[in-house]
Amino acid sequence: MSFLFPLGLLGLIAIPILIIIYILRNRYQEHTVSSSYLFELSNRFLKKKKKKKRFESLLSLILEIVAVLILSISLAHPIFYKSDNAENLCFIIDASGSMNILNENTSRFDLAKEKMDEIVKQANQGSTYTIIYAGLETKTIVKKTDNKDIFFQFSKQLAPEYAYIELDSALEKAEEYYQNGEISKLILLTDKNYEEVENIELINVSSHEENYATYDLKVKESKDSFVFSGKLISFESNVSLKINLYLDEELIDTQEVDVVQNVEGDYKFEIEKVDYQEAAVEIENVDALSLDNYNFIYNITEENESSILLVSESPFYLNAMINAIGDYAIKTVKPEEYQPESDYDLYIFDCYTPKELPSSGSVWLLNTEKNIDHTGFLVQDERIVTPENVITYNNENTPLYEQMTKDVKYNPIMLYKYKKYSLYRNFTTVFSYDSIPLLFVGMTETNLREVVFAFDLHDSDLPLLYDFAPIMRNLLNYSLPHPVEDKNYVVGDSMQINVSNDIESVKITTPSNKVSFINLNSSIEYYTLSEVGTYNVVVTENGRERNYRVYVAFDIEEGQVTVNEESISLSKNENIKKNTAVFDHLFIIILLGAVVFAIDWVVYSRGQY
Amino acid sequence: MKDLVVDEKFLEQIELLQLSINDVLQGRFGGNHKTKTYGSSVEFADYREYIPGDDISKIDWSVFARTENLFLKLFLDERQLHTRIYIDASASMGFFSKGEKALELAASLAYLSIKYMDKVSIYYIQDNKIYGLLENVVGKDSFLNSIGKLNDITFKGSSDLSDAIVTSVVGYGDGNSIIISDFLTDSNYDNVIDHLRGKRRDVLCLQVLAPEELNPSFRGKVILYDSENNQKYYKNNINKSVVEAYQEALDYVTSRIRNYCQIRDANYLLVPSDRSLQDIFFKDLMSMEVVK
Repeated sequence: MSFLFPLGLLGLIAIPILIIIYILRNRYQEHTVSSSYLFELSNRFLKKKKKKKRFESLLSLILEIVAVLILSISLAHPIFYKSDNAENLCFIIDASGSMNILNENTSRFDLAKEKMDEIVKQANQGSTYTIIYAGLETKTIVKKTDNKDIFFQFSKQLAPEYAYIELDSALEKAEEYYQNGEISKLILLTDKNYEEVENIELINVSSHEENYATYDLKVKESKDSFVFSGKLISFESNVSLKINLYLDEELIDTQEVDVVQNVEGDYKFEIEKVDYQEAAVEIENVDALSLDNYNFIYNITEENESSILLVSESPFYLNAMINAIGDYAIKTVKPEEYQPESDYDLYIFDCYTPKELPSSGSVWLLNTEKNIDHTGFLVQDERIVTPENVITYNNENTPLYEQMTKDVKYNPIMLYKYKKYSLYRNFTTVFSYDSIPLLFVGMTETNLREVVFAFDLHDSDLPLLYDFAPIMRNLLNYSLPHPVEDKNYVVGDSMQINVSNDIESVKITTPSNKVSFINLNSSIEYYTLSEVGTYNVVVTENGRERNYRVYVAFDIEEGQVTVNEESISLSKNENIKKNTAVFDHLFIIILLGAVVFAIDWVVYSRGQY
Repeated sequence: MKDLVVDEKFLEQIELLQLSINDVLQGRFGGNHKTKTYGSSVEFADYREYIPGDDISKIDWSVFARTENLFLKLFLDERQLHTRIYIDASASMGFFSKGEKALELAASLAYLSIKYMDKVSIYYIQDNKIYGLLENVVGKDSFLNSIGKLNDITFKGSSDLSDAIVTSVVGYGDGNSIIISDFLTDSNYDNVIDHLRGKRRDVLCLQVLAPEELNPSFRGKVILYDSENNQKYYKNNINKSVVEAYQEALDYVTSRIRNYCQIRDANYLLVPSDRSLQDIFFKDLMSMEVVK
């Protein structure tokens, strides 16, 4: 025991003073009265309580001394210590999506926080507290704080995420702290069940609330119809689920599907082909987690159609192939008709050498005969193919090369003549002849996506080969990148954003209306999707805004809270030591003093009045 | 102690009151109290025939002149009573305002008698002696001239009511004997009441006690010396139980004298010294029919 203010013990001087006062007070006071007759007579009526009276008088003194003693000790503010009585507590709080499930208006996550705060409130002073937040990113929110208020502040700010989250990373971190002796007890707050839990206190906040989910919404387009299909699951019971299909928020169709607990069910809506922007499937049944009860799919092809300017004397091959690959807006002009323009997403110069590169968009240069500034290569001379040499694919192990050769079957290509270009910038060569690049892709000095054919398509049999289609599709995908390609994600995924030179800004609005702008430092950026719902992505490209809607679904894995075969544990560490507990119960001591004073007052008053 | 000041307004208020007399009157002629026997006052009652031996001065000669028969004129007998007031002048009566209240009571009660042409004597008792302060006072003027003598009383020493009163002349059947005392004594009033009642006098005992005596405020360890005898003291730690015992003792003392008076057909009234004369006369004494 120690005292914060030892000077407070000077109050003990009051005890001898009290005794002196008691002695003085107990001296007989002399008075003259008119007659002592009645007082003397009262002795006859006095009940014999002398011993008790004497004890009561002494009891009063004893109580006063005790009260003064307690008061003095209170003033000195005693602190008591008890070794090995304070834990170094570590909480792992599961922030996965299923922790959003509500039970009587309180989410599992809030319940976990309440339980965590309750444990801390009751913990002995001297304990330390660590929170490991098991979210998309495992974070140590607060480490070894002994300040409960700070702990509560951090705890208050915690919120669950929407993703499926493995706790392995959090457990590894806890294991590290445990082995370092930084924590002595691990408490896991989760809604998951485990087969075996060793050396960990598991607090399960699940109440097995009803939960259904739909996922994996797909649309297939046939000549006359759309087929929307997807999966259903019920985690806690066998149930008949009512499924609604909406197109642009209008109810189109409804069906009921019987679903067996924890067995995947299917649904399928076949409807007549109509134009739509947004398709949604919803489970109408009410459950504890609504986030996984709907799926969206967005149709954004038309509103973001790409435009291509083809400058060619004989555009047959290119025109045919591009039209076959996708729905592009192609404008074809003769070389003599070409005027530099800037409104196209892709410029294809086929056997035509423009005076300068376009200021924006992507550019294809086929069989360029003269040097153009900033292209990254120089035209040397035209060469004839010798029969002993063959065209070879470069087999580079780079992402861009793999993108360019996706689905390519590497058919042998026949070539009659080509141009030798010397490259002074880094390009990815798709194929070459005698180590001379024939098809290469890269960036111009003005940061345009560039595809260069060092030959005229008419001088090769490439347009006649199967590989022409995948190569052209890959080149078009590279040259006409959609800033956002995939439209459906699961929470926790990273959204890929293709950043072309023309993109001025990418603004992302989350389902909860948080707005952020993407850094445009590299050609591909990633954005982590941490919320369930529809993200709005606005890409400003050459002053033109393109809108993309991206639906992020709840991770279906999260609905499943029973993990039957998994075990979690902390390795035993014999060297773990607890802290010395500090007991600072000044209020109780003051209260005790007040009670003793009150008793003293009652005893005194009872004797006197 | 403050000097007694006669409150004339109060005297006017009690002007119409009269002390009751229950016993057969044996007083002298000349008072305002009518007896049930024929007497010689001026109030005509009846005639009867003369019998030899009768007082010839009572023969109505005017009737004889008309009828030539001798008739005696009979008058209601109105007698003058003698109210004797005894004031306990021991030291205990000098505490608080008990003495003051005793003198006020004595003066007021004496006035009631004076007003009815009765004689009044006021005595005070110290130790075992009785001292006459006003004796045989008759008439308002005489009373008012001599009432100031009450201020000559000095409350001191002890008092033995029994020795003092019994040995004095108390009269016989001729009015009220009023004893004003705190009666804080064992029983020395017993003989007095018996003696006075034996002399067929109406007895009124007024026990004057101070509020402090009715509800003492002493607490803690005290030695209480008796004002009448310094050798006598009470030593105790006065607490709740002692106060309770004191109240029981007080009840015992007041009950005892009340009961004794009741048995002896005497009147008794406990007078707190802070009670007003108006309340004492118009509520307490009237309800007891001591005054009417």
